[in-house]
Amino acid sequence: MKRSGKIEKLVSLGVLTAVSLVMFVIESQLPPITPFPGIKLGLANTVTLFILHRKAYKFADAVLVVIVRVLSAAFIVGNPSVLLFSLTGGISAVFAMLLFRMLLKGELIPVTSVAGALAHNMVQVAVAIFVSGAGVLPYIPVLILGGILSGLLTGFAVSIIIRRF
Amino acid sequence: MTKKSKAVISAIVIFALASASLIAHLWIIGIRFDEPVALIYRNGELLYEIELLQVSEPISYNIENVSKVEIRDGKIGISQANCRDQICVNMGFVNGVVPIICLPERIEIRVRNNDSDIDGVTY
Repeated sequence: MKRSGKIEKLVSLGVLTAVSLVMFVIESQLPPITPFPGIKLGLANTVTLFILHRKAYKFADAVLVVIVRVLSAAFIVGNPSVLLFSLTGGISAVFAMLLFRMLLKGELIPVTSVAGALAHNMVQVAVAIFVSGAGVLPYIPVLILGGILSGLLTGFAVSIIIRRF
Repeated sequence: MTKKSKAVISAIVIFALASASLIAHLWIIGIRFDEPVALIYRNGELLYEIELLQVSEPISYNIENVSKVEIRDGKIGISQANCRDQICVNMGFVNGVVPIICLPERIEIRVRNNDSDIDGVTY
């Protein structure tokens, strides 16, 4: 890759990280949709999904964007107690989505998105069990439902964006 | 596999998973105890153990000045919290299996049945 191409990629990744950070911060300011903790739209994940489905980027780029976004978000939103949750959730979502992107050969983006959302939620449940015990187990069904709904929504949004750009 | 068959299989799997979790969720929130006992934890440490039906007048507990736990009508809930997201307050008043968890302050309220040694969750 030529030097100008490298710079272009670096700049675009920086912009994408900023976009996902803005989405993350805006979403954290919205009132919760349900009374159950852990259910949210996952708008920031749309950027990860987008990067995974563009040939210009490698898998490592997606992981990097997630790590930078989660760490900077912790400084902006200012809740270090949930950092462990967002970091493990975000990274497991990237890996799950990579797996499904390969299985589905880049087709059916909403399904890949659902897989990412579910991986995110389930890993967070595992972390919660590790942190505070088995009391969170009754949350699992509602988290699966929330993951499916939000995953489908953001997945359809990303497939529209991919088709246009 | 064609794109269409992949789509059909995925739709079936997702729909089945969604319905199974919906049924499980409705079942879980439907579980009620005869003698509900509420356990209030802070940092994994048991602070209070209260038999909910013994409480006739509404009472409240201040948990180390970070949140206010209230008991009324045989149910327990967090009525005030210092945290920004207020998720625990939005959980409302409960007397079932689904616990109230306040992640930022590490406060957890669980309800179990009086006569059982096992946690309600294991049912």
